[in-house]
Amino acid sequence: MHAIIPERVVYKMVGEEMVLLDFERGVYYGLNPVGARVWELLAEGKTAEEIISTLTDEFDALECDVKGDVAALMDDLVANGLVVRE
Amino acid sequence: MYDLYDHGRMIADRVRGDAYARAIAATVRPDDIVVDLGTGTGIFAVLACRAGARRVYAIEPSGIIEVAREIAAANGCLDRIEFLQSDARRVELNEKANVLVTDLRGTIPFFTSSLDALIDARKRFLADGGVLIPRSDVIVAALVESPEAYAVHDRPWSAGWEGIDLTPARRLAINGMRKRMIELRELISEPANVVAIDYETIATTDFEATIELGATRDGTAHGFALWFDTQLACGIGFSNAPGSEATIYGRSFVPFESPVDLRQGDAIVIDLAARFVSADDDYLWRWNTTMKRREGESRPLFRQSTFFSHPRKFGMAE
Repeated sequence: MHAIIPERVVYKMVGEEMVLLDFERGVYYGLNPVGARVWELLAEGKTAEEIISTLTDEFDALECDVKGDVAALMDDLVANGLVVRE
Repeated sequence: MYDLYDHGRMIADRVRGDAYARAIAATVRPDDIVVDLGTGTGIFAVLACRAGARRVYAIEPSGIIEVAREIAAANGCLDRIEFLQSDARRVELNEKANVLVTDLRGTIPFFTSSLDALIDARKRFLADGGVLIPRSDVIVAALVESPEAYAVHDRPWSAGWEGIDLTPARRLAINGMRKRMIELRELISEPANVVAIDYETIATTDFEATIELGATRDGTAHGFALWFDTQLACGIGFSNAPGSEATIYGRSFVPFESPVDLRQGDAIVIDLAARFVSADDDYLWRWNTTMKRREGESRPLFRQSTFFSHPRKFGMAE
């Protein structure tokens, strides 16, 4: 599955946190370091499967744990209009 | 927040002061109720009294209001002016006003909470048929060729210092807008209207507009300038455009990520947006640019925003 970051969403790293701004609504969001890494991979155009695989390697975690966390984060991002599922 | 010396400079600006004095004299009628939003040193409130106002509500969040009180007393108006030190959005009035006078602009009217406060004040304080000073502003833009203006955003950071790499700061500086007295000779396009604000009807603090600025000569566009033309009252107004008599407002210079070489007839298309963020009580700006060559070729240039100009963003809403 691919997810697209809409043009109205701008983002930047602040320390270890990713700050997202929905420019149309003028609302900020913050992602913790793991969420920030997910966002970076999304921005690179990676699929959910590729993101899960990368995080499993980078954080030396179990794929089933990562899968659930990534799915929950993606649901949140979609619900807030920060990404659009393709 | 402005200090006493800033207020002194505002008063010394005769273009602004004379126009406001004439507009107040032409608008305020005997027995009127007037709201002076952001009264500062109270000079508009005193002028409203001179024009015959029965009562003036002079609202100002900063401590300068104490100076305004003394100035009102020195001019025999203290009994007719009610000073309210508060953010106007938290003020309640027991009567409606006939006239709402304000100058809450920075270099342009989309500035901190000014429009939010003005729209709120118009809705809650102004009687039906009441009059606003100003009536309208038009925001205008033009391309700028100015290595000097650009250097403020670019040079110290891209050049480094004593072998220290300063480039992390450049990303911040190149996404910031700064007040600068851009001169007429620095414009390399015709001015174009960006957005018109009708203060009697404006209902939103935000705007988004697409403008095409065509180069009137070969040159390098370092960014663009924004300024405003105002109509305070019927037939009374002024402009802070480059080439007009200098005012306190100056112009906003908005830099491009990199300088853009242009030939006469080329154009830069700017998708410009200003969004009021209530969590910050301030504006975020976005300017996405596209190059349009005179032969018809078109390509994206930069995506910039004041969002990237803060090293850290406080007050996140969610």
